[in-house]
Amino acid sequence: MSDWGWVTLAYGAVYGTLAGYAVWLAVRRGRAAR
Amino acid sequence: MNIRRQTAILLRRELRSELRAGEVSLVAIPFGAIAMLLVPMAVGTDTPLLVRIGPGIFWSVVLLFGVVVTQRQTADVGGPQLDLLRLLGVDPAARFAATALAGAALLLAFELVVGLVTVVLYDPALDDPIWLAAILPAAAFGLAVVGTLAGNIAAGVGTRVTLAPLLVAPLAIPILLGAAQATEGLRLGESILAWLLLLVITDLVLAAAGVLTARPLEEAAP
Amino acid sequence: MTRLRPLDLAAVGTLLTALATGLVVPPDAVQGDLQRIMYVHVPSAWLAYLSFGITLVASLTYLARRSMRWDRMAAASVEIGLVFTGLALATGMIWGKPVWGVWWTWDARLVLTAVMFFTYLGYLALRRGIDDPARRAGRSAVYGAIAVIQIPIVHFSVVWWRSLHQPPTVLRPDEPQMDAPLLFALLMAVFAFTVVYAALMRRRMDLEVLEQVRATEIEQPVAGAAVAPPRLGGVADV
Repeated sequence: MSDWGWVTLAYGAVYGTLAGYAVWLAVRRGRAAR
Repeated sequence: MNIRRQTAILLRRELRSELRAGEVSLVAIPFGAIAMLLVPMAVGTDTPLLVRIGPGIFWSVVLLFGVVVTQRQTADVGGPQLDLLRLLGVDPAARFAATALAGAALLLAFELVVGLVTVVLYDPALDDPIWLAAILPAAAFGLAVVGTLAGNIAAGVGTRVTLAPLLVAPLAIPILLGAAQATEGLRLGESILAWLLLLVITDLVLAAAGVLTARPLEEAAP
Repeated sequence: MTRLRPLDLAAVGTLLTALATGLVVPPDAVQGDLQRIMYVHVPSAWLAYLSFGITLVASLTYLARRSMRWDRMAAASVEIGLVFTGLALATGMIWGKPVWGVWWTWDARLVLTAVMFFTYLGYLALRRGIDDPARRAGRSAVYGAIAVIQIPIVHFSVVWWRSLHQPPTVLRPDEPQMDAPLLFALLMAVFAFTVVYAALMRRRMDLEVLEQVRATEIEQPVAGAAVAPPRLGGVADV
């Protein structure tokens, strides 16, 4: 894999996970506040 | 009645219970022994390989399956028994010390039996094996302390027996490193005093932690 | 739809800026474009350690003050710390494979980060196993306290162990002598991730309050339900 391929993998993993976690927190908040 | 005497009485009671129940002697120790038998089935029976990795496998088994010894049923004082001990004014530190010391004795027995199996199956070559007389008890004591602590933290949790090993493993790393590296030093004929010192210091720190947190744990746990 | 706080907006803003900066700065002279992975790896590792530290401080403070706010802080920091530790490990491996050719080296820092990951996991597993909030707070805090006492020894023993076996030259991912724009990108990323941590902490701690309220609403029988009205004559049936 090219260098940029590895970079994309790393950035995708990190920013994706952070966004996913934030979304998950919002979902849990919705469930708890109901 | 002072703490030393409380500890001694509880220790005797616990060891007697455990010998009657036979959980360690009839279950945990054979489990450790068969583990030593299983590993060469996975890594191969090449003699030089086994001579080299034997001590390391031994200490891994002691850490991983020895935790089971610290989570034995007789260590889990709960319910009316615990209430009675509290009403009688038994110091939580004494209860902790008794369970930890009982665990240390049982772990030492575990190490001795499984160690014998290791010598037979793996034929490790150690210079000055007399040092094992220091390494084995030091490791047993440290593991017993951290295992008892984990058991008390997880007391009453349904998954206590599986949770406690997970809690123990990271904290027990210095014990594993100290014991394994010291034994490796014996195999290579190198100085092991530094690793022994690590073991002893770890033991003392963990014992202090156990005694200091005995009362806060008591207050946190109905 | 939840209201977006200034802290949330700041987190998103700084994060996007860090992302852009990381992609725009020139490649490193030695590592080329792979250096850009450091702009997510180093901040993740920094936050992993920061979260851990906050967890330990919050645990000890809870034991001293017995105020639930500190327990919520510890719980939030563990969960978020687990995320960052996982990311630190993953990005470390993604960087390591093209550079060293292997996914894992037994470098002391990598090993310690992995140990931290499992410590977090154990902490979370412990909290999950206890329903009563006061008991859960107390037990987790004690575990945190023990970690404070023991982790330095773990750290020292692993570093010492690896120092006996480590080859003399190991390519260090975050070399001190970095060109100014690369260093800026790195610091920008560290700053952004820290803001993100703060925003996530705030949200997670609020969530903890909501979830605890919900838990008490669902299960507890009302105290008066146990009292039955007295019956005159006839067979008693409850």
